[in-house]
Amino acid sequence: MSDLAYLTIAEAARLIRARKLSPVEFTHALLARIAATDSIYHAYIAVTEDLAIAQARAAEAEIMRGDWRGPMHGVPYATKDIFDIAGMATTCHSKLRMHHRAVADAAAIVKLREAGAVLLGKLSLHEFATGGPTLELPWLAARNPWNLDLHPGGSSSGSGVAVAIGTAPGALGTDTGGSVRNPATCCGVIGMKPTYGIASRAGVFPLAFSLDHVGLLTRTVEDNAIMLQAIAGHDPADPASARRSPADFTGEINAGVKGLRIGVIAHFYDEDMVAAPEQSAAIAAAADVLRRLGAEVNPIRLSSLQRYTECGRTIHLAEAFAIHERDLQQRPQDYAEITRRKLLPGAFIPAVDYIKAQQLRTALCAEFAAAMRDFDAAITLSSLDMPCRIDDAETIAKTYERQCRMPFNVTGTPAIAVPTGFTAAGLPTAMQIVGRAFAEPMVYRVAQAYCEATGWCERHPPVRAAKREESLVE
Amino acid sequence: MTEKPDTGLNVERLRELAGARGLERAYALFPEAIAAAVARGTGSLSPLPAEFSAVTEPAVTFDPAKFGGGT
Repeated sequence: MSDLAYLTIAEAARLIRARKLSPVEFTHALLARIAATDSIYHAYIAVTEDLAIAQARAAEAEIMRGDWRGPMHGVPYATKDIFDIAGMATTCHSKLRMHHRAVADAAAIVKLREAGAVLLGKLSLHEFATGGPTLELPWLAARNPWNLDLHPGGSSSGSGVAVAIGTAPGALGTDTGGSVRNPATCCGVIGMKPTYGIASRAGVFPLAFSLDHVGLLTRTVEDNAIMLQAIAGHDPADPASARRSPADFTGEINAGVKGLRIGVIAHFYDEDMVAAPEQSAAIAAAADVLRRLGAEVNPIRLSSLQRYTECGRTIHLAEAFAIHERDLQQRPQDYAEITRRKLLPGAFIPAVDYIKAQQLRTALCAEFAAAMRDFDAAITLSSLDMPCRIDDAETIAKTYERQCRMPFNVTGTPAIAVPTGFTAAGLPTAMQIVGRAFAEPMVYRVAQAYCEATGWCERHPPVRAAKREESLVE
Repeated sequence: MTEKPDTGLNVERLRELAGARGLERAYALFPEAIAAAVARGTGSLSPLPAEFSAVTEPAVTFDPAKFGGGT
């Protein structure tokens, strides 16, 4: 396997800037790795090889002239196939969108292009960011890199897999109820859902307008902050875009947690619902690590997990049906069964329930903000269970109810999933680190301190290749 | 607040509910999915606490300035 496969964005940026690494060589190496592995992992729907090589050559020429744009310049990435790229189908992993052609790039793609990044391709997902793994769709479902028989999490499944197996150092995803943090959890990588409004949703196919967030999956916390820096900023094309300048996401990242007040939202996973023992033990150990690093760690109490989840689900179902109503009326057979079953309930939610859910959301946002006044950040679990078999649709459906991610889509506040260890079976466990609105620098700071102390992010799955990578390099 | 899902809905009532949402075709092809959707959709939100204020402003608000109507 290539030495470049697990190069981080930060390391690559340093080498590229110093002209010790060629963006073209880096890109070729990752394209070769995709070609060698993707028939096993199914992370990619489309590989943009020609575009990637052209962008890498352009970046290399600029850098050789001394025009270095920043840490994404010449660095490859990939995107969930829900972001528009001009001239390509934004398939959303659905038969309904196979013949779509985007007329312009999504805002995040534009930002990354302007930062000089190199687009490797478009990644698989759960159909319309809500379905699940199924054989009914035109493309195969991505597989868990730690055990091919297991679910890799979703909906940004390809994003999690590509990053974990070293076919992209970073990937764009979207998160409406945990769709960045779930695959990050299952694949053992970092997944950030930033504050609602920080990263533009323009050009992203929506799932639920008021819950949709653009997010990022990477192998390190620093890389995540670098990518968010590249895509953050006000965008008048997104009605929900925040009217504020982005913070410096990396400036304080190595400041440590000594003296910080960190809450533990334990009732979500040991009282409201009961998590698998591996997940509970791992987050308890993580709290101890933060204490040892000098943080003051204390319990924090919010409304029940069910209250937050119910609020988010009601909004999610109603908004998603509004988007899919016409297609569900006219061509319901073109959706996969698992997707139909997730979208149809929205047809029957009374208007008053949607309004009450949005009222409840106001109350929950206020509750969370008040609780966080006494804390710099908080931790809670991401998934309550370990990944199940990818062909066990019934259990997969249950795992989407047994998670602690939706509360932070409801509040719109930042939440990052980080690995907390590995089970005896070799599967990653994870927790979330969450913060106040627009407190991404603090969330990254805590995540960085924890990940640096534990080293869990440095483990990689045993990647299988269907053919040799070297033979594919020019 | 919403009542608990009526699991006793008969075929005709389900067909009516689906028809009211323009989902006649979906009902014809996937009647079980419609039945599950009715149960899930109508049971989406449990009662809120008594102290919850009914005049709480919803989290989604309309901003006329965004449509060129004000500054």
